[in-house]
Amino acid sequence: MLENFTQFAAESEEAGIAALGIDPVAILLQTGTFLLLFFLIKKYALEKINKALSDREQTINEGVKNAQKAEQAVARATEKQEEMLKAARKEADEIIAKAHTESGELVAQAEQRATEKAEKIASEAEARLDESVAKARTELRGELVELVIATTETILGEKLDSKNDAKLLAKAIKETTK
Amino acid sequence: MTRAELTRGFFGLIDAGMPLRKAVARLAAGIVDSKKTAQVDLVMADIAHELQVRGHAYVKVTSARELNTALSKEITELIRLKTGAKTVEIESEQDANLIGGAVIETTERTYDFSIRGKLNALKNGVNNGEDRYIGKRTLE
Repeated sequence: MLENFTQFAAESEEAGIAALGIDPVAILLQTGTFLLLFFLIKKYALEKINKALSDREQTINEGVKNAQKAEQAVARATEKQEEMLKAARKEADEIIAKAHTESGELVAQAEQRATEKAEKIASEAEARLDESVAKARTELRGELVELVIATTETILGEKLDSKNDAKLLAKAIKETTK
Repeated sequence: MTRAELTRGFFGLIDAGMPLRKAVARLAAGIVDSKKTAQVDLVMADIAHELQVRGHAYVKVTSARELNTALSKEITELIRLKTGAKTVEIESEQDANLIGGAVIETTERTYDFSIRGKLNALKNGVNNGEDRYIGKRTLE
């Protein structure tokens, strides 16, 4: 039927517009088809497409926002990390400096203790030496006096006669009487 | 009976005119009766002290050799001078260990004039480190 209609239209207008190569029927049909298609799309698909596009746009926007947030978080984290590194380096430097100071103090204290101990040992050794010398001196003195007394006893026992003994005793008594 | 009572009793007998030998025998009996034999030396010291108070000094002289008359006289004079006694009684004994000189003992003090005493004093002085015995240059 469409073929007959088309043939009829072509035959009737072949003389006017058809001479320019324009087929009004085809244009009408194409327009109607377009409108029909537009109507169908608008009614059944356009809203969903718009919604899908809108969702997609929202998703993209959220993604962009999230990306910006992530970038900011990374920047903050980087900054924080640098601050932490800086603080750690500072603390490490302080610890090293403190360790140097403390090690120096420990060395000085150890030297002081060693010096004191050495002096104490030397002092004790000197005291022991003095004590030994004093003891030897006392013993020698005792032995010497024993020898002197023994010799004196022997000599006086042999040489002191009654006359001289009486003379010495009388002299001692007179000195006491004075 | 106490030591003081024994001493007073002894002098009571002497003052009453009892001979010394008999008074000493009575004193000895009193010492035994009162069980004071362990304190004989103290009783003798009490009597010697009482004698000294009464002007009589009892002296014990220990000498290396026998005392001659001149020395006894010197000792008597010494004791009279030191104690104020009017009479001095000397009991002498000999000890060769003294080497020379004599030791004179009264109830109050002892005078050591013996060579043994001098040597002991020297020994003690040296051992005690007295400078007058050891000097300043010992072993330096």
